[in-house]
Formats: sequence, structure tokens, C-alpha cells
Amino acid sequence: MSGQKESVDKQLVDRVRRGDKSAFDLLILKYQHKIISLVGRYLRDQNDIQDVTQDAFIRAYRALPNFRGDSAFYTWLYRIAINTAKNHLVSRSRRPPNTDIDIDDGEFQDNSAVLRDNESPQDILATSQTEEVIFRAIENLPEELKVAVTLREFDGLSYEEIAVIMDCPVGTVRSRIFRAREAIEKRIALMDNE
Amino acid sequence: MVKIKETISAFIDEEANEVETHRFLRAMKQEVKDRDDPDIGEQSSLIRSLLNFMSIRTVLSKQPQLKGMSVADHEMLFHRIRAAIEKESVAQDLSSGASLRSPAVGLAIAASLVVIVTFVIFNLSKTESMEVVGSDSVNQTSGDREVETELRDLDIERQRHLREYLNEHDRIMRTKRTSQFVTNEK
Amino acid sequence: MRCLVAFFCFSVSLCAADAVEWLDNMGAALREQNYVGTFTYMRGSLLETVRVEHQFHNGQELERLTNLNGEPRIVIRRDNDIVCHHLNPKGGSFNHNISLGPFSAAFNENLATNHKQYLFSMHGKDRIAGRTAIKIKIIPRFGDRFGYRLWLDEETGLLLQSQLFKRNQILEVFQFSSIEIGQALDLENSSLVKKKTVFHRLTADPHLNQQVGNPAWRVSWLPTGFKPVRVQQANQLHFSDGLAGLSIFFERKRSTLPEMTTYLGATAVITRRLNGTQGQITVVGEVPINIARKIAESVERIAY
Repeated sequence: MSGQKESVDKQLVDRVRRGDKSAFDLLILKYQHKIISLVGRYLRDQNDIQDVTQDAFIRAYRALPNFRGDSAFYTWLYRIAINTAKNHLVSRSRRPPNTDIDIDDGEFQDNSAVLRDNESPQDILATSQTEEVIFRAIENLPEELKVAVTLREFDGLSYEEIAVIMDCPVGTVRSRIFRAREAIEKRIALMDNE
Repeated sequence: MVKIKETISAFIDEEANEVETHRFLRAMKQEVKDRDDPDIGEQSSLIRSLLNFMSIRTVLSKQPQLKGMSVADHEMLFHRIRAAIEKESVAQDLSSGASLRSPAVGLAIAASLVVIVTFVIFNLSKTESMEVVGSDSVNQTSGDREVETELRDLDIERQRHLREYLNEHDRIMRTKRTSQFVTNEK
Repeated sequence: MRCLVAFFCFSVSLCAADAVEWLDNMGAALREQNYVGTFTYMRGSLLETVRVEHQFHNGQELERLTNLNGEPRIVIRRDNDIVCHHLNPKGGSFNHNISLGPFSAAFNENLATNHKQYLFSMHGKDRIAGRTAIKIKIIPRFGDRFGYRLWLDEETGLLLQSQLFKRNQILEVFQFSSIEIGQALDLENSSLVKKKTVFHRLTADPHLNQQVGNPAWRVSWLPTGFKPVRVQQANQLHFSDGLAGLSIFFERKRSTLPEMTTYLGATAVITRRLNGTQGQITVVGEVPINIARKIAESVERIAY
């Protein structure tokens, strides 16, 4: 699984290095959420977080010819993002944290406590509404779609592993996960339009 | 559209193959182009879908999320970053082949390459519904050179060179007898 | 409930056993049946229509393949010796493509059915080219190779139609549109090619002994189940899992080809420089592109 993951990123990186800028768009889209979460652990202001995220991607783009591929692209991008956030704190005469955030912590620790004091009640409400819509949409999914998307998103299983568990072809798993996401997406769109 | 959205779903799970990723990339380029075109306007549904799918993941996998940042905010941020990258000079790999960086060769390749990545839906009533790789040409941008193409879309010299290998492969694989399989060779 | 599960398992294993038996028949039929027919073979954007006359006599295969589309050419195959005759010598560039269809004589039923990389199942009957066919599905257990659907002639086991697929995408289709099986043929005594032609031998002359040097390189990773096919040339290696094939070609000096990835139907073609040398390798095979790439990346030089 991880091998294939690196391989997709590597293909995109290779394309960028051959001059295809649009391949970098896919890398941005793929990692934007993660980098925002990571930077959000260092900074509090939403605008700062977005600016630093943007800066991190630009730095990564500039440094791409030097990316040797010894590590996974995300690990490399992650380091750039942390350094960008620290530099931002220094430039604002604020002391960066003494310890670095572990790569897994950056992804999975709940940072709601760090951010709580600078969020407006509307922000908190909007976020919890989105969460509620997503969870409710999952509850209303047909059983086979619910199981497939849950095994993928909660348990992080690959399509092959899910296919074994659900005793169906990999193509069916792929289709079920997509249909589940599409159904949830429709619910989010309804919420946005309300 | 549904097909490409399914590819997006597979892409974020690392389950899309290279050809699908290429197809998605092409569709996304078109979408970005349309967005920049004032006559067509903002219709960024593929990008929105990808960001929606990522938001679903963020919520379900309990990753920390920036409170109050909606999918629309993510989309705006993405376009902001993309616009900033657009202003940057091309991040060319200094170690890649010098011959390919030569402008004349680059132009020649760009001019000669037409990629055919095609997907004709066949209604195979006797089996399950399946998709058959067929032919439909799409102009290749210079940035896409060296990506996977169908063999016939390469220039004559490369085709000839690769066809020799392909013919030899076919000959060996489709004519050798059972006895010629080696059981214990490293 | 237990009985039901046991019955289900028993049925599945019976079904797989039947499929394996049918594949045995197919392997033999591909070589040993006499038949005349017309097939189409679609591989990516390449679509060929070919008339085939196949004879098995005194333990030897003799086959005449006449291309019905495009440049007129006839391929004569005597076992592994293949000669391509161009009927229009002034016609310009010659394409020596050999449309033997999938598997052909190389199909190795033992290798294909014994290893554990595929699941085999039977799917009833169908009608292809006016004949009753048995449907067999072969799906890979993992994502490192493609799947196949085969339609075998109920009477003889001959392959009448096949599809090579990945997930829900068909990458190659082979199909007889008409076929007559079992009639007596006398290809040996008929004039195989009636007019003067330019011909091109696609195989090394079987009477010539080739000098084989030590290989200068090796492949350190292959998908499970692929075994080497013996070929007397130091600059190429071939592997098969019984259904899919893989070839790796080596050039000591860098050729005109840049590093590139291309494909024809299900066949991936990847060219890479060999690290630390002037050499270049090309991987050709009916495997997913990411697998072909992984194989290409595993090729390394041998230091003697």
C-alpha cells in the first residue's frame, strides 16, 4: 500500500520536474488538508495558517528539483511546512515550540484545544454541523456502502483488504466507496445550499 | 463525469492507476482552464469533489481540522496557491536528459506527440458492463511529453524501436513450448 | 448453516476444478486441433482481422495467418519458426507484427493453474461464432496482474473468444467471427505463399547456434509466480506466469529512446537507464504499468 502511495506521488513529482506544473495541483489538493492541520498546530490565526500553508507549497515547488526521492514526498513536504511555520513565528518575534510535532501527531492528534480560543461560535457551529451531516449521511447509507467506506476511512484498509473482508471483487469495493462518498457529498451540498 | 469522479475517489485512496491519474489530470487542467475563461466561469466540480472527499476523510479519520474552514474556503485557498505557483518559473529537474531540455527537441516532441488515451464504452450485454480502451485523440501539451502514451502515438523512429521489442516479446511469449519454461533459474 | 457453508465451499472448489480441466483442454486444443477461421484481435487502438489456417500433423504445428486489413501480408509459422511475407513489396515500410492472438502455443496450463495467483471459475455457456462456448473467468488474487474471461469451444476446448481486463476495463479482445474445426487440411503440400514476396524471418534461424555470454544484469524483483522462459540470448530475459508474459531487453549503449512509459492494450512498455552504466533496459509485459515500473527499477548490473 505505502509502496503504491509513494509511487503515485513520485509519478506526479516526476511530471512536475519535467515541466508539467498542473501535476503539482494534484499534490496540493491531496495534501492541503494535512498541511493546514499541521500548520494549525503552530499558529492560531486562520489567515496566518492559510498564508503559511501557501508559502510551504511554494517553497516545496521551488525546492522540487532538489527533491531526491529518498523519502516519501509527504514526509519531505511535512518538513518544509514545519520549517515554514517556525520561520513565521520567528519573524513575528514569537518563540517556536521547543519540540517538533511528530509526523503522525500532526495528522491525527486532535488540536481543537489549541485552536479553541480563537474560533468564533459560528466557526464551531459550522464545523460541528458539517461533522453531523457527514455522520448522519453515513448512517443513512445502504449497509454495503456504509461498511466499505467505514473500513476505508476509519480503519484505513486498502481496497484489496476490504474486498477480502466483504468477499467481493476489488472493483466492487472501489465502486461502493465512491458511491458512499458521492452520497455524503450530496448531503454536504444540500447543507451548503440551505 | 461519474467515471472521472470515481477516479478521484480512487486517487485519494492511492488506488487509481497511472493512466487514470493522467486522465484525471487532463480533466482537471481543462477545468482550471475553463475557470480562468470568463465566458465559461466558475464550474470547478472536480476540484470541489476532491476537496469534499478530503473533508469527509478529515472528519471520519478524526484528523484535526481548522474550525470554520469550509470546503469553499479550501477551494479558494487551492486557487490562491495555484495562482502563486503559476507565477513561479518552471521547476525543471536539472538532472533530466539534456537533449530533452533543448528547445528544438522539446518543440519537435511537443509537435509530434498526440496522445491517445481513450475510453469507448462498450455495451457488452453478454458479460458485465465494461469499458474498452479504444481510440480518441487529445492534443498533448508540451508539459505532458514523456508521459504514458499509446505506442502508435510516438514518432516513427521510437515506434520502430519499441515494436522490435514488442514483436520479440510476442514471439517468445506466444510460441514457446511448455518444455522451454525453466523451473529453477535465478 | 454449517452444511450450507460446506456445500458452498464444495461447489466453489468443484467449479475451479472444472475450470482447470477446461484450461488443460484449451492448452492442448490450441496446438493440436485443425481449424480454419477468421478472428479479430483488438489490442489498445490496434484492431486486426486475420484469417487463420492451423494444422497439426506428425507432432508439428503449421499455421498460415493472412492479414485481411491494411498492408497485405502472410505469416507462416512452423512451431516456433515464424516468417512474415509482404505481398506488396513496393508498399513502403514493413510492419512485421504477428497477430497470433492471446496465449497461442505458449499457453502453459500447468504453470497457469498450479500457482496461487489466480482464481478460476465457470460461468455457464454462451454462443460464439455459431458454436457453443463454455465461459471461464480468471481473476487475479491481487492487483499485480490482469484478469481474463475465456470462451472455450464446448466440443474441442479451443479458445473462441477472450477478454483481458483490469477491474472493469477491457484492455484486449480476441474473437473468432467464423471458424470450422476438425476438417482435414493439407497446408504442407499447398503453396503457402502464392506470389513472390519480400519476407522477413521473425525468429533466429533454428539451425544456427547462438553464442550466449554471461548476463551483465539481473532482475531482483518480479511478481510472485513468474518463471523464466529459456531464451539463448544474453541481452534479454523472458518470464511468464502461464498467462501473462514479461520480457526485459538490455542495450549496452544508450539508445535513441528517452526514459519513457507507453503501452499497447494491456502491454506496458517502459524504458529506463540502468543505474551506474551507459546501459538501457526496456520492460515489455502484460502487467499493470506500476508493476512494470517496479520491475524496471529492480534491474541491476552484475559485477563479475
